[in-house]
Amino acid sequence: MKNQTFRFACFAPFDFQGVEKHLAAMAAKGWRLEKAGGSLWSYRRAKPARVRCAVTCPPEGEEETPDRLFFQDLCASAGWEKAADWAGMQIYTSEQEDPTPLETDPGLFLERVHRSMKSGYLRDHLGQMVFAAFWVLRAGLGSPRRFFLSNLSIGMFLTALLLLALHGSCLAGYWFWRRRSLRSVEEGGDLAPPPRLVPGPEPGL
Amino acid sequence: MAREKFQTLTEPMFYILLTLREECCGTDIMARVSALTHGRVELGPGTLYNLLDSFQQAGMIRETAVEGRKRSYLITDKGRETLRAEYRRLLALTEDYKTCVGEEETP
Repeated sequence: MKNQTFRFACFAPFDFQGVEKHLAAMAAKGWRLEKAGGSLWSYRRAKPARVRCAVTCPPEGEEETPDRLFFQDLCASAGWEKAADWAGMQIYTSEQEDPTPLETDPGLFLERVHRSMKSGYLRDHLGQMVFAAFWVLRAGLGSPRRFFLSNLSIGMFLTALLLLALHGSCLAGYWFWRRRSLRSVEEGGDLAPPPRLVPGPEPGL
Repeated sequence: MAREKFQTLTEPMFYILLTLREECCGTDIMARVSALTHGRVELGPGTLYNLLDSFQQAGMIRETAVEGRKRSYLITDKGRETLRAEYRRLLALTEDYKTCVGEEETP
């Protein structure tokens, strides 16, 4: 009987509900998250259990800094154990029946998520979008006759156009999600679910 | 228009400052707030960490001890003044309610 399995997990880094549901379903089947690396996550076999999962935004900095260890202790005192790091976020699990949620102020949480996204997800997608836009413009500003005679140029142009659309949709997805979440929080609600068809993993992973 | 930070306090902010009138370590604050409010106010560890950090940056609390991974905090004069200002604001709200609704209808 194998003790490890892998799953493709294409979640946008702000799809907290999606991750939480996925991990709770895996735990119910007897698989606990071992490592959340890019799009391929690994799980180890465990006793099937009802496990609560939550994604949160850790203090800035590298792993194992005093701030992060203090944060982990606070989570542990509320019954949450760290399961994995993921896309600048941290995933926690709890086997308690009704643990205090990790985040009880969605407004504060949204601001922390935004700070984290600015220094990771948004910066990376914006950088790659600018790079793709450069290639599209370069092709457009050159001699059209010379450009369309070269298969390589056409290939580069189409690839850059595709990348432009992909990274643009990631940024637009986040922007829509943040706007809807801000509105929901102002009305006393929770964070909004992410829009459908948002490409999941961080660029380059 | 955006509200100025800490001009008014949310319930978790209010109870954290209230709890820190006595020196208290981070992990005990959640339990104390829960006990003080009979479980009405839940304070998640993510929210608590963020508020402790913000209060410290604003000079409203200070770190008093670090023992390994355990950190203790205490309210400062600025924090006490913010807490008093919030108390006065809440009293003013209560008085306004009594004026408009009347004592007899006050639950």
